[in-house]
Amino acid sequence: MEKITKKAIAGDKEAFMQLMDTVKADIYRTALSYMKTEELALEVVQEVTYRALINIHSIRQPAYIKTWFIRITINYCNDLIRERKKVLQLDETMIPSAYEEDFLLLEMEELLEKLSNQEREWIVLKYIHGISFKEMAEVFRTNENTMKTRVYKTLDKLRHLAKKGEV
Amino acid sequence: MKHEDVEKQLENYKNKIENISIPETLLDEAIEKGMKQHKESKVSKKKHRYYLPKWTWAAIIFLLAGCVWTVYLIDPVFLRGNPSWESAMQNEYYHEINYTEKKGGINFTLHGVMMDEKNIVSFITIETENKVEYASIGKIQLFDQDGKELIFNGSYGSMDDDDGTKKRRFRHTVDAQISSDDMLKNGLRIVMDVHVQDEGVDESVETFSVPIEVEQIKVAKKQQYEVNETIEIADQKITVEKVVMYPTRAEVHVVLDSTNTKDILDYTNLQLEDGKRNVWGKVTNGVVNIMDEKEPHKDILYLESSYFQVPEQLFMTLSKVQAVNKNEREIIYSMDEGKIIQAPDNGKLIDSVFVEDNSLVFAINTPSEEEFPFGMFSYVLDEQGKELELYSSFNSIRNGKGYYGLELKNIDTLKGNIRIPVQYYPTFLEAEKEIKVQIK
Repeated sequence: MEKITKKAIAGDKEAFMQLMDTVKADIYRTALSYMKTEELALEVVQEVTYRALINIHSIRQPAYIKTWFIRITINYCNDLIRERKKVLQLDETMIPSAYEEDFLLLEMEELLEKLSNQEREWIVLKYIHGISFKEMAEVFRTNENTMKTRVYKTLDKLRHLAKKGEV
Repeated sequence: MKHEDVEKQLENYKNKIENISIPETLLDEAIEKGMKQHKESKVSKKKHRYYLPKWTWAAIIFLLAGCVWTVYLIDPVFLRGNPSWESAMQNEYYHEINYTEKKGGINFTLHGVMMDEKNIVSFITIETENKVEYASIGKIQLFDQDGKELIFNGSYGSMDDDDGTKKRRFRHTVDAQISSDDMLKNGLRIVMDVHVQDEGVDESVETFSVPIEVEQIKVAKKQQYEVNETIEIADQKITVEKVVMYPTRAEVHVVLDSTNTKDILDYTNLQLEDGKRNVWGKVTNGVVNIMDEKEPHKDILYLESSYFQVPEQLFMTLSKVQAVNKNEREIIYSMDEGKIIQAPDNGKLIDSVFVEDNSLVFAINTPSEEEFPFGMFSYVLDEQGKELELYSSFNSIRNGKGYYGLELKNIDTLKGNIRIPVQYYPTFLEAEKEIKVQIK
């Protein structure tokens, strides 16, 4: 993977396609969890491809390529949500979910939406994509202990929010 | 959901997400569309980040446009976007110094200078041993031959695109204007701090001191034209006092009438012309205008210089300025309530304000990047007027909207109202017809 990434960074389009093939499911699922509909999630995949092509030359740590793609995805989803709220004056919960019968998913997403964009990003990276604290610390330019504290604090917040929801 | 189960529930959530079926064909189509979008896009809308040095309040823009094909004594990239520097070079007003010093892993070279009675422009390359995020010039001091510090206004320009990639070589220009005309008669010493930034490493700073033997340098004499004519644009009166021509730039000295209701932030299409289709516009590389804090009603505007062309006639033309109401020169934002208390034009152009990545970001409806290539802010004050620590200010265009951000230290703990003076703002005044003033 690192070899392909390095080739893609150097501008090899074929390598970029191979890279997209390995990360597309992660991008799509992350986008779906934020945007809720297949249509919007696909729109995100298109834009992430475009943004990745523009910025791939700036990657400094090829080993963290998946995290890089997920972060682009999350940033664009946050942009899109902000724009849509502005334009449509819609509460995001009104947008139909692609998996609306699944109450567990809906319940967890409702909780995640109550976090700040930054907190949600940490949780998604750590618990959905299994990114290590070491890698997260490097990506967010802090030390591992601080990263752990941030994630655990966010987890506490989620616990608190979940508890509040029960009452 | 039981609160103690949150971690477990996240694990379940992850499993559920991983089991969602993937529409392979649609996904591949979306990727293909993204690749096509990239191929068709002529202009990449990347984030531009402008690092504003603390030592200057001069408004600066780095627009690196155009190419210089002539072979010169220095890398032509230094002259991009500044025809006056190019002319000065062609007319042998560039003086080679080639001072090199290596310190703390930094290889510093001052290639040479261009000098006239008031300005000294230095061309500098900083090289580092390894690729780093950024190497910039911080504090700059000028000393005369007796060691007395000279007062000057200045700006520095980075000649390399800030494209987010790590580099080993950084090219800079430092443009200093000394307050008194005769100070350049003596020997000079330029002392500057070089800051090297790289991720995961503390910023390193090294100081370099370069002697300049002024008596060996060909110093150009200025040409001065007295004008003293008052023009009016949308009821705002501006008196053009004089135009002073130096090899490296032309200065238009203006005085703003005390009865004006607006502050003029930029003279959008100001230019000099000779009536024979030759025009000298704004410099896109270096200082663009200076307002003296002691005399806020006076302005010095910088244009490209016709010094070496010596036209028979010279006119100044203008029809559009950027302006805000005098009492609306700053945005006041409540950190407690997360809302705007005051903004130019009643905040009509501000779409939203939000905090993202330690930055306070204003989404503003602006014209295109070509028409409004400016950052808006360069410093922030707290309620008491104390300057807050600003890591950087930046602007980017996303989805057809301008986002103007301020990366602030401890943004989460900021309280009360903060004041953000606007250096530029996309509200304009236009004259009914073009104003033309004869200079010569």
